[in-house]
Amino acid sequence: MSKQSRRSEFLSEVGNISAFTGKFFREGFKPRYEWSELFRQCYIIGYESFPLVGITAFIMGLVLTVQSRPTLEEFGAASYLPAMVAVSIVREIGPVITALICAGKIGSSIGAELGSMRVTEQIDAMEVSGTNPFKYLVVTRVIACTMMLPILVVLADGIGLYASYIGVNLKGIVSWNLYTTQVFESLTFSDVMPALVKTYFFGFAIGIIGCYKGYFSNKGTEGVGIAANSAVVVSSLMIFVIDLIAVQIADILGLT
Amino acid sequence: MTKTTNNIKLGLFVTIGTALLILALYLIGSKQHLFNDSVKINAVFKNVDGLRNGNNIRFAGITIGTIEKIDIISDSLVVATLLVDKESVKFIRKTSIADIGSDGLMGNKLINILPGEPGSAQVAENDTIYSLAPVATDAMMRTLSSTNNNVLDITQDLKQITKRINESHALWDLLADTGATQQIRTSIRHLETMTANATTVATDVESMIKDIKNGKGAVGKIVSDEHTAVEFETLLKNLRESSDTAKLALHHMHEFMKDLNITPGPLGVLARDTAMANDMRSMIHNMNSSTATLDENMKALQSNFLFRKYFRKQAKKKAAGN
Repeated sequence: MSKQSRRSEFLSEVGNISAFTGKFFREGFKPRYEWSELFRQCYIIGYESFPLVGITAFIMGLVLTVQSRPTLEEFGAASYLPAMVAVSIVREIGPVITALICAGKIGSSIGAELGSMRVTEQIDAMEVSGTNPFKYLVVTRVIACTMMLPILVVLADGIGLYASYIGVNLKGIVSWNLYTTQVFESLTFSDVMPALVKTYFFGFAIGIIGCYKGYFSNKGTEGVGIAANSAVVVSSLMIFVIDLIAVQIADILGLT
Repeated sequence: MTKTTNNIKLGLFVTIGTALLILALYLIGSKQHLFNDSVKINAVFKNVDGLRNGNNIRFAGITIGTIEKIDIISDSLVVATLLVDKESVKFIRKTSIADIGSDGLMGNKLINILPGEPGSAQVAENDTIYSLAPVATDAMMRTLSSTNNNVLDITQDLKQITKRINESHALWDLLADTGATQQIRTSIRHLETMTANATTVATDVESMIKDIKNGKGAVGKIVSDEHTAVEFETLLKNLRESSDTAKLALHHMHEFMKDLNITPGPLGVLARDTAMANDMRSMIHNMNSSTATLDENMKALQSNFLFRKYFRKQAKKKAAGN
């Protein structure tokens, strides 16, 4: 494949995703709303992802605390550990790690599910039967992802901070009261709000890319695998791109 | 059924997530004093030394508010608007002073409000309080540097002194000598006794002087009685004159003696000539023997009938006189 064809393929992919996103906004807010499917997707994406996200967040909080301690102790600033870990988790680690875990779990499952539906021509069957497959399959999943990811991130932050409390107390004694005081004194709205807002974009990106990859997967079993794989890869990459844009915007708005 | 259960689980999940978010936002807001009623006061500075919006305000070490905004009014005047909790504002007076400090050595800047004069009035909304000039770290470091140099010199001197003390055998011998300690102790005891005696003497002298002043005793009389003083003066005058006369007499005597010694006059010869002395001695001897002979002649004369009558008359007269 020549460089030029690759470039044109990349550009057509970007254009297709943009068109797909545009279609989501056109279709998504028109009745009829698939509430039942939306709740089902919220349950699958939110509730069922929670254990995985929770364990990951717990380990991240603990590990980050334990790893940071020696460096801070070198500066004689071990008492700043809760504050430092809290800011790290809330601003960056919590949203990004949770989004990546969800990209892996949700993005791949959406890509594979829609891909297999495409391959088995269920989507075409839906169209024939009069159900709008875009509304039923894509809009519900994208909205569910967008709504659930921030909640997952908030819970992950909470679990991560609790794990950090345990981590701080592994080699020192800090009361729960002092820990929470230090954590909330170090946090400001400019830490929480940009992080919270960007998780909506992370969720949207995971949903829209997973759906796009699955919805337009090629025929054959190979197509399902490719759809699932590329959904994870592209949505993970998108998370970092959005993170980069988010930090720039936050900086421009003076929220750093 | 499963669908309902799933929806309940989903509802629980969403509720917990949202509640956690709201709780976190509330806690962060309350730490920044967003939900408390607050009073705005202004603090005037020449230099805010890196103070920023949102930095804490402390009174007696307790965070009582945050800085809302900082405005430059003129080239040498910066006004910071402080949001102070309504509950805490009663402790701040119009004479309170705002002082810029930092949270720890490297922490965020903050404003410490120092309590004002006890009698002054409490601050009200939009009142202005004044500030202390912030501690200039550069100047502090410069002073610290010169202090360090001084400390270095002092410690070097101390080191030398200690070394000398350590090397001094005499000092250690003295310190180890228990006899010396005993002697010092005895000396101190003597000193104590001496001091006590001196005190007694001083007291006596004092009372004596008092007596003298009051005209008691001989000296007192001399000092206080004018008549005695005149007499004393006359006495001294006479004494001086006598002394002068005596001096003159002694002078003459001295001159005479000198003459006697030097000039070859009869007296000098008399005093020095040994041959003449011998002559005189034999002369006196002859005179003695002559006197004895004369005495014998006189006794013979008394017995002579021509003079017997006269001698009897003399003896009667002598007896009548006794």
